[in-house]
Amino acid sequence: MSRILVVDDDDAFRAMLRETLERAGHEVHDAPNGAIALEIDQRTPCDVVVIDLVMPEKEGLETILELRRRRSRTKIIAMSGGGSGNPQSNLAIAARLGARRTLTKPFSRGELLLAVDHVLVDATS
Amino acid sequence: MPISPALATPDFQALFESAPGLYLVLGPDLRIVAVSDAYLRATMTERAQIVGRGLFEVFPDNPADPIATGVDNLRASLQRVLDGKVADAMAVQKYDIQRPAAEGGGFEERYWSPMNSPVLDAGGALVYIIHRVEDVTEFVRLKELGLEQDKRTEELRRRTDNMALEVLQRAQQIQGMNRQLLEANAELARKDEERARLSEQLRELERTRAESALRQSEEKFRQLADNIPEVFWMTTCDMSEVVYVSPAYKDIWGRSVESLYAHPQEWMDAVLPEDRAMVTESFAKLARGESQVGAEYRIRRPDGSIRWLSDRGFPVRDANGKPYRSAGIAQDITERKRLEENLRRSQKMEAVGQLAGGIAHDFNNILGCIIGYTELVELDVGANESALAHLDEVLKASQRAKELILQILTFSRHQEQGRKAMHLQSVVVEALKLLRASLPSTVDIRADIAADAPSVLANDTQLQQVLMNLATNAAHAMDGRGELKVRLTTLDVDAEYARTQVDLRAGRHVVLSVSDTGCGMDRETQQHIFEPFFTTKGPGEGTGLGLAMVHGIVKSHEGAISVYSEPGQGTTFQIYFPAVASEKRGDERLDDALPRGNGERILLVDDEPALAAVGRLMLERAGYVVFAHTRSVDALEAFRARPDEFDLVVTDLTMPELNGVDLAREILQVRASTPIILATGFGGAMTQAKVQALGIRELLFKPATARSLTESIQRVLSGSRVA
Repeated sequence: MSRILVVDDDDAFRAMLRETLERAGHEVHDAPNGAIALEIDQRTPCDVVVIDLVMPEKEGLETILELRRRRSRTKIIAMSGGGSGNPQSNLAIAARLGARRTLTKPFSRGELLLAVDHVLVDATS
Repeated sequence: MPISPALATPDFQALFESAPGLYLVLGPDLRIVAVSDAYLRATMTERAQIVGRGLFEVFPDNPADPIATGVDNLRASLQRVLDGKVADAMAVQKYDIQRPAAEGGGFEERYWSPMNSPVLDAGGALVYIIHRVEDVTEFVRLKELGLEQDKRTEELRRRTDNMALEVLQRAQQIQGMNRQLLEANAELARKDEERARLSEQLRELERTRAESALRQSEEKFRQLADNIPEVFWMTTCDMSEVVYVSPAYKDIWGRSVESLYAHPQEWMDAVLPEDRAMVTESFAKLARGESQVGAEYRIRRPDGSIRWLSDRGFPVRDANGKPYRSAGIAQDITERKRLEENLRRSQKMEAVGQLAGGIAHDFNNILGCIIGYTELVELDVGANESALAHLDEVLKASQRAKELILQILTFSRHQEQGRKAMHLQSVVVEALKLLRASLPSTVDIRADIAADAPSVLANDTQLQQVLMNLATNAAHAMDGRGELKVRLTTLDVDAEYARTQVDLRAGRHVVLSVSDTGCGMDRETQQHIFEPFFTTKGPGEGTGLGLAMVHGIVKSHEGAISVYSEPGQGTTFQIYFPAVASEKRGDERLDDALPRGNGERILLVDDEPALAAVGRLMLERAGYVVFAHTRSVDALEAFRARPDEFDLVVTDLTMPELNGVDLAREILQVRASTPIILATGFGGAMTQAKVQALGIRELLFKPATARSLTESIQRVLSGSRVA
C-alpha cells in the first residue's frame, strides 16, 4: 500500500481517481489545486502524486517545479487533457521537469494503475 | 454653320412684277401697293408714279366722257370685295386711260375686263386686294365698227365665252399668286422668328465652343482611360446608350467593346440575377441627381467564371452644370474579395480552434469520469454478463468520443505531431495504393508525380490522412464514377503570388493537388468547407471534421490550401508545402552538429520558469546534468552547500533579490575558478570586456539558442581545462 496524492480541479474526476486508486488498495489524499497539494506533501510526504497540468491557482507545471525545488522524493505522474496549450507539449515539459509518467486524458483504469505501479517499482529500483 | 434654307427664299417681288398678267395690288384703303410691269405697259404709267397713291387718283374717269361709269363700277366691285372678302368679277368696262404728259396727256378709249380678289392674312383679315384686268379694247372696237359683224360678233361671243373660261383660269392663277403673297406675308413673320433663331444660333455657337473644349478634355480622358486596368465608362444620362467604354472591359467582362456599343444591355445581362435589382437601384440614383453612386456586384463572364466588381458612377455636367452624361469606373475586386473571404474563414477557424482547445480540456475530464466510473461499475457488477456487455458499449462510445476530440485538436492545431524532412513522392504513392484498394473501380485514378520535387518538413501519417480525406471526398462528389487526379509538382511562389493566398509565403513549394470531375461546389459551399462540422453529406455519413482536419494539418505544416470549384465542373484542392531549403538541413542533423557535453554539472539560474525549463531541456539533450533554479538566492545556497559539485554556472543578469552580477561575485568568492556565463538581453550596458573584468568568462546574448548556449559552454569549459 502506498500513499498517493491526487491533484485535479475537476471534482468528479478527482473523486473517480480517488475511488479507483483506493480500490486498488492505496491510501489516497486529494487536493483541488497545486497550493493545497504542496501543503499536504509538506506535512506528510507522499509516495506518488498524480497531478493535472491545467489548473487554476497554481498550474501543474509550477507545482512540479516546486516539488523538485524542495527535493521532494515524491514520484510524479502528470495528466493533461488539453487547454490553452497543447497537451502533448505540456506533458513533454512535465516529463522534462521530472514527471516519471504521463497520462493523456481520458485514460483507462488499467493505464492509471499501470503508471502508478511503474513509478513505485521505479522508486525501489 | 450651314445657312438655314429659310433664308434662301425666292424674291417674290421680282417674281410678281415680271408676271405676264396685268396686276395691281391695292391696300384696304385702295392705295396702290404693287404693280406688274405688264400693267404699267397697258396703262402707260410708271411704277414710281403710281405706287403709294390712291387707285382713283391715278386712274380717274375721262372728264371728256360724261357717261363714264368706270370709277363707280370699279369702286362698287372693290367695296364688295372689301365687304365680302370674296373675289368679284366685273363685266367689261369702258375705262379710258390718260396718256403720259409727254404724249400730250389726252385720254385713250379703253375697255377692260377686271377681276378683284382679296388677300387675307392668317387671321382672315383682308390685307390686300389683287386687281387684275384684261385689256379688251380691241374687241370692243371691232364690235362697234360692225366689221364682219356676224363673224366677229360670233368670235367676240366665243372670245367672251373663252374669256369667261380664261377669267376662271386667271382667277385660279391669281389664287396661286395669292397663296404666294400669303406665303410672302407669312415670310415676313418668319423673318422675325429667324432673327430670334439667329441669336439662338449664336448662343448655340458659344455652347459648341464650350463643348469643343469639353471634347478636348474628353479626348485626354479617353487616352487615360484606354490605358488603365479599370473599366471607364460613359453613357447617356438614361444609360440607354454607351458613349465610351475603355478597353479593360474586354479583359474583365470577357466580351468585346464593340458588342457593348451595339448592345448596351449586355452590361446588365452579365450581372448575376441576384445582384441586378441592387445595381439598378444604385445607378437609378444617378438619374435622380445624386452626385456619386456605387455598387459592388458580381458578373458572369462568357466562360462561366464569376468576377466581383466595384463600380462607382457620377454625372458628367456641361458648361451650364446640367448633367448630360453618366460616367463611372468599374474595378475588378475578385482577388480582394477572395482574400477577404479567406481571411474571414481563417479567423473563424482560429476562433473555433481556440474554442475547441478550451472545450477539449473539460470534455476530456468528463470523458475521463465516464470511463473511470464505468470501469468501477464493471468491478461492482461482477459476473453479470449482460451488464458487462452494456458497460462495454459505454466504454466503446467513450473511445469514439475520445477520437473525435483528437480530431478537433488536430484541426485546431492543439495536437502537434513530429515532422521530419521527407520526400512526398513515396507518401503519395503509398496513399494511392490504399486509395486504389478502397475506392470503387469506377473511379479512375490518375497520378502525375514530379520525381524531382524537393523534400518538405512533414508528418507522413498526417499527410496520408490529408490525401485519403481529399480523395474520399472527391469520390463522393463524383458519386463513385469519374476521374481522380493527384499531382505533385514544384512551384516557386513569388511575393505577388503569395499575396493571393492566405497563409502562403514566398519561396519554393511542393504543391499537392487533388482534382475530381464531380459535381463541384457553389460559392456558398466553398466558403464553409473548412469549417468544423460543416458537411454536405447526409446525417451519419460524415462528421464535418474531415476538411477542418486537413486545414489544421496543412497549417501545422506551415502550408496553405486553396480550392477551385464550379458547380458541375469538378473541384481541385491545392496544398502548398514549403520546400526544405537544402537537402542537408534536416532538423536531426542540426541537432547532431551541436557541441555535446559529457555529463558536466551545470547550475542554471533564470527567474523566468519557462526559460529555466527550456534551458534545462536544451542542456540535458546536449548531454549535461542540469540543476536549474528560478531564485538566485536558492541557487547561491545550493552552490555554497556543495561548491565542488558544479562544473559551470549559467546565470541570467536581471533577477530580483540578487542579480546575475552579484550572484557571480558571491560564487567567485566561494570558489574563484568557477566558470560563469552571464546571459543578458541585447542593448544592455554589459560588454564582453566589462564582464571579464568581473571574473565572468563569457557574456551570452538572449534569447539564447541551443547552438549559442552549447557553443558558449563548450568554449568556457575547454578554456578552463586549459587553464
